[in-house]
Amino acid sequence: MESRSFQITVNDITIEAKDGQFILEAALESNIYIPGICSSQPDLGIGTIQTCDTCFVEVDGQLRRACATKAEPDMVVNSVSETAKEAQLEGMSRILKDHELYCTVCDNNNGNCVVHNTAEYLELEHQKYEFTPKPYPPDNSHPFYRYEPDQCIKCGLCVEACQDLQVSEVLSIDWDREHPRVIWDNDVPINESSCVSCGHCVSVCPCNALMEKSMLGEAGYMTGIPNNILEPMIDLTKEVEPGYKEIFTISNVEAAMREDRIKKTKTVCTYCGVGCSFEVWTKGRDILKVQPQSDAPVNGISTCVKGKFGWDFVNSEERLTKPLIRKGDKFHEATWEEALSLMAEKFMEIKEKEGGDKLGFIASSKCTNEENFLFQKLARSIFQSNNVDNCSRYCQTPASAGLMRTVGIGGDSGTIKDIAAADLVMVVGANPSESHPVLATRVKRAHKLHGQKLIVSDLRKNELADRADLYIHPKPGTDLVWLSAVTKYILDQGWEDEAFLQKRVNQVEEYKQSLEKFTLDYAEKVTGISKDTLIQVAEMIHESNGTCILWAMGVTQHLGGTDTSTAIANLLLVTGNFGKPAAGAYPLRGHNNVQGASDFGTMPNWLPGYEPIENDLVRGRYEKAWGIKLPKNPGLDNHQIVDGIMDGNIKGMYLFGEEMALVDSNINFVHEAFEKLEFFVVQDIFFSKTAQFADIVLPAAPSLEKEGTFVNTERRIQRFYQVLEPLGDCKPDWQIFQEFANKCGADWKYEHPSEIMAEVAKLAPIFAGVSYDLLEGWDSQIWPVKPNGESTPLLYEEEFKSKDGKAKLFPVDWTPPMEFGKEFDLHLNNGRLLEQFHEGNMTNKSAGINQMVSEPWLEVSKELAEERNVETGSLVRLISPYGKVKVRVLVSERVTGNELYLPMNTVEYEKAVNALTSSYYDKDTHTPNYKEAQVRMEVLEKTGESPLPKNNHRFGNPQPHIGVEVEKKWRRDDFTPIPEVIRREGGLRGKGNKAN
Amino acid sequence: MARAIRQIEKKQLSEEEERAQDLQAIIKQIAENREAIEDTLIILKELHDFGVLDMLKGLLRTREKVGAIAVEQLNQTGMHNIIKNGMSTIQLLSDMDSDQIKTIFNGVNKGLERMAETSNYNENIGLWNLYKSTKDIEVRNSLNAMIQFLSGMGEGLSQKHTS
Repeated sequence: MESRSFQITVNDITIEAKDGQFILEAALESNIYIPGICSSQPDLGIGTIQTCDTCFVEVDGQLRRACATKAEPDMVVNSVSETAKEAQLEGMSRILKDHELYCTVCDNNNGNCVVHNTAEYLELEHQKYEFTPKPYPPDNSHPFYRYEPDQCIKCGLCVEACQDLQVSEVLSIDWDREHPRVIWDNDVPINESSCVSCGHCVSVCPCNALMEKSMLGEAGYMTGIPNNILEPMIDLTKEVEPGYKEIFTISNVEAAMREDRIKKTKTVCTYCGVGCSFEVWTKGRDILKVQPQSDAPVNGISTCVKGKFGWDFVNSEERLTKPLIRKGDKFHEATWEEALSLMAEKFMEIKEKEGGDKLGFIASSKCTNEENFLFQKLARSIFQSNNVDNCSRYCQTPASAGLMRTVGIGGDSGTIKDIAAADLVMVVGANPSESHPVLATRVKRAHKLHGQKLIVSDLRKNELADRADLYIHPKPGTDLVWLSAVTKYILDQGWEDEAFLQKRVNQVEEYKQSLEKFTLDYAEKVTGISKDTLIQVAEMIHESNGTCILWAMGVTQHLGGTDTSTAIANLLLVTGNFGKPAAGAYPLRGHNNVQGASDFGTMPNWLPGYEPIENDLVRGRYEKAWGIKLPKNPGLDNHQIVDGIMDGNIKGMYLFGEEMALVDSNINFVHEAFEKLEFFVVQDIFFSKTAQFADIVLPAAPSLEKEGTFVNTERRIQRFYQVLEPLGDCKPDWQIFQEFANKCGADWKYEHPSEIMAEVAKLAPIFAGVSYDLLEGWDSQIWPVKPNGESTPLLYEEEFKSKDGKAKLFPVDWTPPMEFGKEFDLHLNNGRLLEQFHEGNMTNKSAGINQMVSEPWLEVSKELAEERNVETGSLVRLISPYGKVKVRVLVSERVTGNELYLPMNTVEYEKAVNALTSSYYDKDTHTPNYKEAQVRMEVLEKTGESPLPKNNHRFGNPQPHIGVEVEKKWRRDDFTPIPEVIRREGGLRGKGNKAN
Repeated sequence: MARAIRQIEKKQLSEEEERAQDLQAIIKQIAENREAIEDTLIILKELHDFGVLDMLKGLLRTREKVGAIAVEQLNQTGMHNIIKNGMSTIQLLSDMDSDQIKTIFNGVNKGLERMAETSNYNENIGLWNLYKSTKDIEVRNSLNAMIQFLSGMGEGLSQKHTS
């Protein structure tokens, strides 16, 4: 809906304004600057927060806040009249009562300091109100950032970001005390609060009150000056008060000089699949900070703890910097020439003697699209092997398969904006607050501020479950049953989208019949969810204008993972929730490029862009381009490769960027297989558990040390730039593949990843219009991309991906979950957590993150703890038919009854949950049934230290507010509205009538 | 059969080898920047001969102490005045109209010349002579200028200090 627009006049210039727009917003859009410190981040939550009082303008002779006064047709606004300027100056002077301007020796003087720039714009000459220190010391307790109350201007942007965007509800301003300040929870040190370290507050702070510790004393040329010199220098400056103009001149020169040594590079986060992009600020190899920008298409200024602060791994001493070759019981450092020659010799030998299909290739969802494309090209063209797969096999392949069966495309239906705008969000078997933190913020914000409804179905009462309008706890592995029952109930009530089904969907009748058994009674019996609750779910879907269903591993990692994903798609089809904004299916991708790895062809049955390898026309296209015949039959997937090793069908394996020895299921079995390999090459940035089994270990470069693109969960292709030089002798993966291929007789001559992307664009129709030129800076493309470069942010608007353009309702039945046997009496759930990424190979190099969470813990319900006589800190052994682990207990209300939860954040074999999981799998895709494990528990030590440190955010005490609550400031006795002050002072000078 | 192993035998460069590698890199850079380096050496020699380097060395090695003393000295009332006065003077100079200043300085210059021409300062000058000289058009111009100056200065003094 286009809103009405009209004209207003600002400073004698006529500009366009839209209905409902504030004056400030309209002016800025037309490039007329009006100061406004607290308006510098307009998109956080509630919008205008009205705390800084620097944006006063004259409207028809009245002083008004430009940020909070709606533009009206023919309004005449003046932001530069004498009275307006005086009011703005009064606002600024009040701010500077709280903030000392020592810009040249301030680490925030980087040209983008909002307080500095506003004071400079206002041509502030002298301090009207003397700066007075506040009676609070700086809070340095948090490992990554500090709060300096003395510099805090109480604009509340940090509070707004925390309360209404991140919605962790930790920060607030205590307006009631004599000297107001920002407080964490109910006024505890930051490190003891519920702060999740997402960094929003630091990123939006318009001055140096909240700063990354990595910036302090590092950013400026003079900011490292010792205090005994610095303090008298500040005193001196204040004493002689040459006027701020002169100070600004010097600080501007210094800020300009900083550009010489601080490099700012756009990158895309290397952790989860949300696809946050931001600037990385570096000085040499030191990472000064991560600075998100509102231009970032997915996250804007949002980050989580890992994206904002989790980059220490890049400079870790443990990085691999030289190729290693196994000789006897040791690895020996080698040159690239030695390593690649040996590799070529061994792989070619296996290929020639036994055939290329005796080789397995495991790709990386952490690496780039270009690298994945080259890797499958290497496997298919040089070694004639389709045995290539990536770790989406461990997570979301069932979701993709379920969607391909029904609507045709294995990806999210829309973007994060659709999720934010949905009337109803259903989260099934996913924990976005920890696994997709920035995406979760959009749900939390919509739910808190914009009336979005939220249903969460999960075994654990995770954060979103806690906030949900309806939380349901089905029995493990029964999601398909309640989803189908809800669908059936909707059909029975006649609530289906009849027109949609008629026009756009096939197999409706057949599907309806398949639902017969999924009555509410049956569902209640199987899932344990009451009929009333099921009806409530159905009603909520029925009443919503658009429903988005978000799901993840809780759905997919089961014997019937593909079927349950299909049931989700069926439910959305029946209710017409495809092909329109703010609706659809959202399988949340786990790794930064798990979507891209599959998209770009590292799958045994698909060429890039999900075109079947068996199709002669498709394969022919690649054969012609590459000038070589390709094997026709689909190859082995991850799971089959491991089985193949055990059966002697796989002799050699090349794996890059994948910690398979910890994250595959039933790792004891996997280790046994690895030991059997004749020749094994592992390429990584660290000496991983998997690397320990290798014959050759190759040092690769992480994302910050190369260029390339990732595809996030929205199907969005984003480009990142090189921040640092590759460390030591390590190399970007694509270069390694090229050198290896050329050693094996190929003649590849790629000089830059853009050339690889150009090749993909020519070959794979869904990427036809993808090009590096259209991916510059913050620009991105969402596939399918038409030849003219046009993206498809919302799928299925016109048609579904099938021969006749129609979707298909696909009948599925419930597969009961695996039972390990009576003696394994406890259900074991597993997953990720916020602070450490996945098993933790990267994040566990950060001392700050380890301080928050350093090892996994076993969540045990209160009931079970009582029954088994364990408490937080108890050491227990868990035993399954496949292995055992030893972990400490955390008694938690997030789990109930006999359901345990063990996160996967460990690189220690003794604590790794996958020592307990089985080798059974989803019947359609071979994704392991990680979520169907059962164990028995032995208590080893009754008491011990809690595995989760006391200062962890989970023990905090959040304080929900709506924003910064500026009304409380206005109610204070010492607050006088600025127009009143101007009137009074203006009156003294005989100009009193002007503002009346 | 490949067991999991963890031991890594690093190729340890001997100290000499590392040194040799470093030197090689430096020599390469020197060769590439020969002229600049030769010039720099000449400048360094001059600075050394003059004793500047010695002084700098001392200053740098005691930078924290010296810095503290310097700032301490700067941070005194007298110094505050000097800095403030300096800034005010600079401000004054920047506010003055250069054409006016030129005219006034011209006048002052002529006056000085005339003054220098007068041979006998001890000669008594009576009131009558003073009165008579006010009839001199040049003296009157000068007096007029001074009265205007006094009037302007008065206005300046009575104005509230606003900036």
